[in-house]
Amino acid sequence: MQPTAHRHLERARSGIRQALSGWDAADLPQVQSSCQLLTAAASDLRLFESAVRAGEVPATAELCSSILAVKKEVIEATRVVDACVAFHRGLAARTGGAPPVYNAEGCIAEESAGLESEVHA
Amino acid sequence: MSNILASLTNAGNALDVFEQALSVVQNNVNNSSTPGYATQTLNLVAEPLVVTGGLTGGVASQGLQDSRDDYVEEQVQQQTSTLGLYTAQAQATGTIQSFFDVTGTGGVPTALNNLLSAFSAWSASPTDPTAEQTVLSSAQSVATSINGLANSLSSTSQQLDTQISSTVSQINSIAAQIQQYNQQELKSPTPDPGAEANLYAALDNLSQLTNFSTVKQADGTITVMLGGGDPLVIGTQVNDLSASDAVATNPPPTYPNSPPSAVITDSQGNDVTSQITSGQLGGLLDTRNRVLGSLLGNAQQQGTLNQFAQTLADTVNQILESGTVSTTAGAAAGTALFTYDTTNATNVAASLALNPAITPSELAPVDSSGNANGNAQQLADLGNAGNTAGNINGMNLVQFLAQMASDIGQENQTATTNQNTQQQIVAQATTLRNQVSGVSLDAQATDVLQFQRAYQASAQVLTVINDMLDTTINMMTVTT
Repeated sequence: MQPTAHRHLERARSGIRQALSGWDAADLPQVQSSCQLLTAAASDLRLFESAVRAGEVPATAELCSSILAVKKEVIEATRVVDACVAFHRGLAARTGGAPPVYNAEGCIAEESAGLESEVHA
Repeated sequence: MSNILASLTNAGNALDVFEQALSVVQNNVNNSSTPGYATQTLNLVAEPLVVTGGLTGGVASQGLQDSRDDYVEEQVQQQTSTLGLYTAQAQATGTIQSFFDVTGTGGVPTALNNLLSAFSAWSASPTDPTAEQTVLSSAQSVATSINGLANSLSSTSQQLDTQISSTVSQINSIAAQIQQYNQQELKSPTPDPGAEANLYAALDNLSQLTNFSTVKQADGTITVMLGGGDPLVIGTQVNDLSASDAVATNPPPTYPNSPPSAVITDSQGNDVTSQITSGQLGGLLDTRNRVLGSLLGNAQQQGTLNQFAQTLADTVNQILESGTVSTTAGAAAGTALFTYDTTNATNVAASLALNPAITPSELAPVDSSGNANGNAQQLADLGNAGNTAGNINGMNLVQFLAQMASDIGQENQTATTNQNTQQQIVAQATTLRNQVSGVSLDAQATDVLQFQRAYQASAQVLTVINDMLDTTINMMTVTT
């Protein structure tokens, strides 16, 4: 594997880990900080994906296993975050306040487009 | 003069009310670490003041208000219940996994490999008494190790039954506490923060054990129902659960003599097992009935261990009995190497034994075509990839055994991963409950939306990351 590409993958994995370990559902700045770490991890993965697409990274069993390990951590983080989303969706309904509007993907409609472009930038 | 008296009376009443308010605050401080306690506030209302009408104004208390929110409580209970499920699954499948030696240094896999090696050595020297004796002793080892595995799994099944009974007793004990709360509530409907704290601590404990839902009735009592709606506590009535073992009769059993499954019944005798899908009891029942049932058999399946044992015995016996003990004309036909309980397909692994009647010289290395080592070679080939004799679901005996170990390993790994993740989810849900407790939810609507947006942003990024990983993995697969 190219050393740089490898570094991107490792950095993404480290970012996802930090985001999950620092995740505190009741602390808004902490949640935002975790989100920033995840966004940075997404950028690193984007660079890694580009390197793979360009054929700069030889496909090896070891690399596949590293990617699957990152995916496992992503699934774990997703479950924790989804649980918080579900909790607050219910809470929003409970408070009777104006609930956020969700699109077909289950995301808050007004923010999805902007966030998507930010991550892919 | 009367006005002065009225003022003094008002001031005295107000002092009483504020003293009550201070007591409530003191009580909140004292109980800050009490399980199940939620902050109380004393509602104060202004009394009407009509000077000419004799209404003297002042302040009065209008009872205590609880900061607890049912939605938040339910969320924590549901997540705790799920954690109980995964924890029980991880522990129980960990025990089962330890019986499947995957290191290749012991257990059934090693005994099977030794037997196949013995067949191989015998095929090279089909008339060698030492090779014949090694085949018999290796067959004995295989039978003993399969018996040992079956017995270990049966013992685990019994241990799980004990744990299930103990868990059911704990559930009944908590149901009795809730019943006492309901009795108290009917006698004295005035809110009692201490009793409420006990109730919610009891519900938190119950959520570790099973899945349930609660309904607060108009009379102040709590109705607790199991996941499927079967009542556990209604008012002052408790519907005690009990645990037993039985072979399921609906649908009619394919294996009526199979090991019984664990069954939970209510006080009316109704089978409520299927309603318990979460909590410690859900995890124990799942491992006891589904995981162990798939290995040892139950009313609807033979069990993979019995399937393996029977296929091994039948295949080896069939090959040996089809041949002869020597190439001499009129030589005796071969004798079966293994015996087992043929009356009960779910008892094969536990009853598998070396045929007590066989002697080394009764082993038949000669196949039906007269090849001097044809049978011995066929037996030695049983573990080879591509060999179709003795296959189960397209796998040879060695592969099938490895698949059994892999399946249980996978069960344990999944449960352990789920347990670790769920611990975080419960911690988050509890933190959120503490955050919400003691504040007006209506006043928090804006904050809730801010949190919701922050969570959603993270969820969105995670979705993008997940998609990118999938794309990258697919590119790797195409390349390799």
